Amino acid sequence: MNAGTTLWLRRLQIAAIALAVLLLAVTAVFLFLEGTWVKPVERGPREAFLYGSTGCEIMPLPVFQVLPDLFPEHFQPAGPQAGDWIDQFGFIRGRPGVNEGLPQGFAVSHYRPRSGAPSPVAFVGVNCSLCHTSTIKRSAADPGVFVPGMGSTSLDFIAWVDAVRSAVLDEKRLTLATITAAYGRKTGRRLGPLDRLMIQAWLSGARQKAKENLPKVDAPYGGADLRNAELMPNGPSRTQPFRNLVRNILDRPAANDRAFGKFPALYEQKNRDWGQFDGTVHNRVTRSVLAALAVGATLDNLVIPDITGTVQKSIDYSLDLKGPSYQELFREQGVTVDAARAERGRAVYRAHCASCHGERAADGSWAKGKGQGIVFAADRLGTDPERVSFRYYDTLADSLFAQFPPKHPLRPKREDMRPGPLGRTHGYISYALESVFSRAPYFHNGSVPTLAEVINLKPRREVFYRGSTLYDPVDVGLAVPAAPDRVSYFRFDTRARGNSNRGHDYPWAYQGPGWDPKALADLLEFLKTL
Amino acid sequence: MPSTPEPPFPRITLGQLAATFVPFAVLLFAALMGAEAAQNLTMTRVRTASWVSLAFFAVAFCLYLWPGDSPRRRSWWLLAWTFALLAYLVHFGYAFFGTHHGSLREVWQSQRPLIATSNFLVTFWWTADAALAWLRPTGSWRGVARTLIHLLIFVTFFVSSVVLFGGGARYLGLALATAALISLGARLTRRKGALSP
Repeated sequence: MNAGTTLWLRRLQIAAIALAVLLLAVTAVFLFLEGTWVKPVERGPREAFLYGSTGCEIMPLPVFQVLPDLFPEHFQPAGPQAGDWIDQFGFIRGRPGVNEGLPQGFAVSHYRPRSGAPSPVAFVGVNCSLCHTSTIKRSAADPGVFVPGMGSTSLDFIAWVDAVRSAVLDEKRLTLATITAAYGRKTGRRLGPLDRLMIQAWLSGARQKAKENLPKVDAPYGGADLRNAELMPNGPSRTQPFRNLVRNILDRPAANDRAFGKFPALYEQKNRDWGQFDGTVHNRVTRSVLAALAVGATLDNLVIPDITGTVQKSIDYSLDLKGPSYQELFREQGVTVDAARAERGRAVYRAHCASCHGERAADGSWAKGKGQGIVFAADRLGTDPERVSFRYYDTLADSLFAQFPPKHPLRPKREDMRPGPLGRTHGYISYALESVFSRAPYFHNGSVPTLAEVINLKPRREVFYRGSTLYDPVDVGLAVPAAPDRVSYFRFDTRARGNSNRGHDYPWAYQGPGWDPKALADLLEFLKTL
Repeated sequence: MPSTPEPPFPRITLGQLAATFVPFAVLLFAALMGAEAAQNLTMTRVRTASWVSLAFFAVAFCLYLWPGDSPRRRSWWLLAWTFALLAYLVHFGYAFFGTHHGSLREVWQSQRPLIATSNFLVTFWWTADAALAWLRPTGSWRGVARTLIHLLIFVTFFVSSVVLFGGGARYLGLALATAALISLGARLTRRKGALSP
């Protein structure tokens, strides 16, 4: 090798080494920066419940901000005159300057979806308060009283998810270029290179995942179909939680699933030993973890201390959370409770209800009834059985349990899940009725709008329309029209599978043997005081 | 082991450094950055950094086992041995601080005493041996302690890649075992030839 070649080779080697050093330096800088992207926020239980991340990140914040603008046909399915996407899907409007001004239940974090890896761009995810916070409109003009812990009466979550999926699958209209342009128009700001990189990576991954899932979950509906109860049978205030779990855990379509569940209130969770309407989960952490898994969290990101902390604080928040008081809520409207009738109603309650549901004790605690917390067979209650008889009902708990590696810190005890060592349920659990007036619509499937119908003081309506949070203080529950209007768009047909409003004919069936409307009116008055 | 005085380690040439450091940097970059697309960032980095370490260890182990000796081979071995260690320390750092949050108790609970002790032993012993190799280049190359740490690391990598984890790592583990067997076979063959009349 001559001297020239040697020199050339030497220079090449030095250059290669220098480039390698540079590569490692870039890697080190990147890893350092990556460690600074997530800045956990110390929050109290209430703030954690309202704004903390539970590992259910969905999309980058800039995408979230412009998606409704890019796809108005999906995010305003009733047309622009019916309000923006927040109104049309029943979200609770946020406040400017708080939580990026996002609707209630959307958490902003710097965690990437599923992995929980740090992200330079903020991501938006859902948290507990999305489904477990609501408003009560006391009149048509009332903006609504904000009630944390109340099951949402307006959120049409499944329809919104389909709107998002429809947008993500649109390869022509949802691109980095369209997102960047729309973001610039909306905010007057430009996305930085790292933001663009992360958005592109998210878009590719989310679209690929959405495509992979098509055979399992079918193509999403969009546009006006999102408000068609035949196609989107959940409607406001309900979801199909086990359909999601069957899809995510068992990797099966759950096509025949009609196991609807309304968003339950989370008041005073300390009064409940077993969670879910069918009493299938014992441990509160497990209950929350399973709920988070159903909407996108993973066993990987749930163990991130910040996320685990939010889950735990949200649980803590719900342990003693008091529901609203009927009398205080409607005081401005001049609505009062007749004390004498309520007192007579108490006797009716004690005779016919307290043994299964307990009652409020003088010291404010909940005195447990002897049948409270017991699961009653669905055929005995006569209520809709779909929720407790869906396919895989008997095997899903085993499959869920098997998802957790043996050393996973959130691995539940097998006996905390039913069906399991502690038997199977196939029925509905009798639970405490704290602030029962704000638990509308009633029954696990939300098929009965008012308490007057629950106790059979009035006949249960066969068909009604849902969507509004307007309250009916007389019949105690949701005001539901018999015909659709601008807000109440979802046709709830109780004859449809999974929607039955039959059963639980206590104290008496409507106009059946022993039926006493006067006693029932007294009972209704008493229920306002719980 | 040879009883004659061993030649000292020569100076590392620029060519040797480039031929080992550049692949090391590229592979480590790929291991750490490639994990960005994975669901569990930390666990993936734990795994991929160990693959880089395994690859360089395989080279070092074969050079160590191969019959004969030369200053030049020792230099190759030292570089491969060192870069394998550096990748291993990255793996160890992500495992200890990332997965186990820097808690010895957590490591012991998660890995159980035998594996946890073995991992810590490997880490300290390997680091000490590499430091000695750089700081005392005139010392014995194939001493008992160094042979033992080579064997311990080989067993650790083989068991973890082939038995415990499987998947793509299994092929790396099998390649390591195959290369080691070939090197050992060559060594035994050479010794048998030397002993023959």
